[in-house]
Amino acid sequence: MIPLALQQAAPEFFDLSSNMDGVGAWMVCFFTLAVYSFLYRDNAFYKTAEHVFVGAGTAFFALQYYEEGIKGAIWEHIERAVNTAPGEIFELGGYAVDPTVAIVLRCIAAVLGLMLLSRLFLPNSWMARWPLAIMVGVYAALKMTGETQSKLVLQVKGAMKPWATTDGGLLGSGEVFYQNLSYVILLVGLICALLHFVFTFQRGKTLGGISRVGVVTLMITFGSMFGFTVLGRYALLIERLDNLAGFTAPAYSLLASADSAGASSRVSQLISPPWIVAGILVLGLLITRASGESDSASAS
Amino acid sequence: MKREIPILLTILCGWMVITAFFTTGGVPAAWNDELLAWGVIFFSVAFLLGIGNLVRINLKQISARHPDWPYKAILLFVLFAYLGIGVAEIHGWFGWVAADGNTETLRRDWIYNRVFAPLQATMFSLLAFYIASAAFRAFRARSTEATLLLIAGALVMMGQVPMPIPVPAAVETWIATTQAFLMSVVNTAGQKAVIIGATLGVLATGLRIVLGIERSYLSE
Amino acid sequence: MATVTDIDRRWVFLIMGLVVLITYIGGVAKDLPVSEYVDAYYKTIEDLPAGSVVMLSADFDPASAAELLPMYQATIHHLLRRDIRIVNVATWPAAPPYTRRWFDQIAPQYGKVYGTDWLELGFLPGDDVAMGQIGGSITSAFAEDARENKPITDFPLTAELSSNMGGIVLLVSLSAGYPGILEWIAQVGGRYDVPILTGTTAVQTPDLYAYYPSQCSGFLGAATGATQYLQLVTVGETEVPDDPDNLATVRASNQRRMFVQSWAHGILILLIIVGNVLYFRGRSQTA
Repeated sequence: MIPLALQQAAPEFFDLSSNMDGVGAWMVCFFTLAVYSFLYRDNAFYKTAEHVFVGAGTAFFALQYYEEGIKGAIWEHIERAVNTAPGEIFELGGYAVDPTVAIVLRCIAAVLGLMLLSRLFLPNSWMARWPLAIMVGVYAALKMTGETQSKLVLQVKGAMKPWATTDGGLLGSGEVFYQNLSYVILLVGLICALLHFVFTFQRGKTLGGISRVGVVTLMITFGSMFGFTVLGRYALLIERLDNLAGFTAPAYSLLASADSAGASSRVSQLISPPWIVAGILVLGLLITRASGESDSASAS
Repeated sequence: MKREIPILLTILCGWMVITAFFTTGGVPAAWNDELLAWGVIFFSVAFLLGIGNLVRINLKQISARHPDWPYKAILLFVLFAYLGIGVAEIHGWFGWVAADGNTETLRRDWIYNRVFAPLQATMFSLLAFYIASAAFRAFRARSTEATLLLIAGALVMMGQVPMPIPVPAAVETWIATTQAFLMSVVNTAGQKAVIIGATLGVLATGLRIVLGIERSYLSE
Repeated sequence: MATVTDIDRRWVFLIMGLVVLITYIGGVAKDLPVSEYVDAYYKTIEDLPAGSVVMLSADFDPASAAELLPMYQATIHHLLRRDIRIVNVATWPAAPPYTRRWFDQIAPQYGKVYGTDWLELGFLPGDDVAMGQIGGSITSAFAEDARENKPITDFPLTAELSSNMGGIVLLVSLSAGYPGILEWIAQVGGRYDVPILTGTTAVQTPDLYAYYPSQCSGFLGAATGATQYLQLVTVGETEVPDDPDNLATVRASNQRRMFVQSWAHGILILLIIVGNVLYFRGRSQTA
């Protein structure tokens, strides 16, 4: 979320070119607090915010995919090939090709794209399978090659740490001792965790013991991941709070248009978008709760 | 032929990309680049396909007067309004062109900053509350493994932030050192094991696909 | 006897909400010790010769901006301050509004010229496929730039780039998940032997330890890493309270957030302990 300016000058009520304007402040406060109202219970404000989020999010993503993945990758690419002057080089992956070849290939991709879209109208048609098959083949090959190299070969290589030079004894002493010991623990933990997933043999005493060390390694790993997840979630919450607090600045207060300098800053803060929106939401929740209770009372 | 041609296409395109991985430049680089561009295009079209389904499902619920139908109507209104404004901006309709003749993003960014960004950030921040509630209600030291998980989690949580209250320097150092050891040694071992295991899975599935053995993606 | 599960979870929500709110109001900024990973990130950029070209990938969205945006701002400042040129890309559709805004704001502060000192290529869909294409050939992956909508071959900076990441000395990904740093490492790092730095969300940070230092030269882990990096980049700079976009102000704000964070973690651990005590007490009474 974009941090807000704490500027003292009141922003325009509606300003297309600014990062935040008056109406925007009210909208951000409403949507933020409407989502938090779900913590109390499901309600109309939350449902409205939720559906606006799905609509706006889908539209925003669709526009990005359309602009870059369709207009950019088909139209602009063909346009560039068409505008290539005779004798000028047109490159595909750094390899010079005839611009006509580039145009034809991209036209084929456009037709295949349309075939994929046909799934919307003809769900069981053979047409959508061709582009789907190409996509699956390309993705599978790309994942397989790239990941085998970086996540298998290089990961195994990275686990083979060079033994720190010792001044005597197998593990050395002082800093060197701890460094070497940590390499041993890493390697043992890794091998045991990998062997934990071996189901080819029945687990006897040996494999069972190794597997137990593997489980301990994995549990500590998952615990660390949990700790970091908490860190991330609270960072988000604090940022939202920071964002709302920005809107209590005098510039966004209802007093801003009058004489914000003359008014008490506390009063100015209280009639700012976050507090007013929060008040309206609380009132709305209380009213709907009361009417819900009277409805259920009359029904019973 | 309905199944044979797609399988052949998968095998052919897959091997073309694999060949390009083991070569540098030349024709394989060109076909690799073009196939990846096709992937970009199909990926984008697939997303638009998703919108079609979203519209269809919501229209169905509106026409069936589902209890939440007014919200579905709001969803569709926001979706089409944003799409309409965005497409007009991308193509420069209504004179919506920047002063230097370029595509404008003003209106799209306006909605993004005031609607999409706060909503998405807040939706995800809700998890801070649910993670606390879940931890309070379900995080139990029932076994040795669960206790280890709990202790590791707590140590990482404390080791990543400054101490909230003054504690003896020795305690602070111990937490920081233990946390660093857990992360850089034990966590690294566990992560590596998960990465290597998952990659073996990716390799096996990828091979099945490019060899034409895996065909489930063609099922109805 | 009442058990933990009988307690309305909204009490837990209320406790956590109040803890965050109260500590936010009384938050104090305090320097954090810098970890070796953050130091490595900082030093890798410091060691780049002036004039080199770095690819900066914005792989995040508003849901992760709390952690990654400060890193993104600081990295742009750090690179441009050292006269390093930037090719900016994005593999997350929601990233471009951020990249537009921050480059527009930061680049002029250092007198940088668009097209020569930095280039905005925008978002490319396709996840791994997009990264594979960018790695193979940037000029093929992007027909036009995202700022002026001109063919990217028209810019002086592009003339120094070639296929297979030629001309790029470093890749920096600010990654919120998939696609992100792990895919960059798979599709570009290993294949074209380009050094990689990253800043990640907390959820992804534990993964990075397995890649450091052989496949990832340094990383900023979560809000903690962001704060530590901001401390390094803003040494000697003082906070300007009226300017929230000033980097020293961002640092101070992040440090205050870490104070809130520490209390939230402390109370959460306390809640877990209380939950366990209640659970075991209830179990022993039942037995």
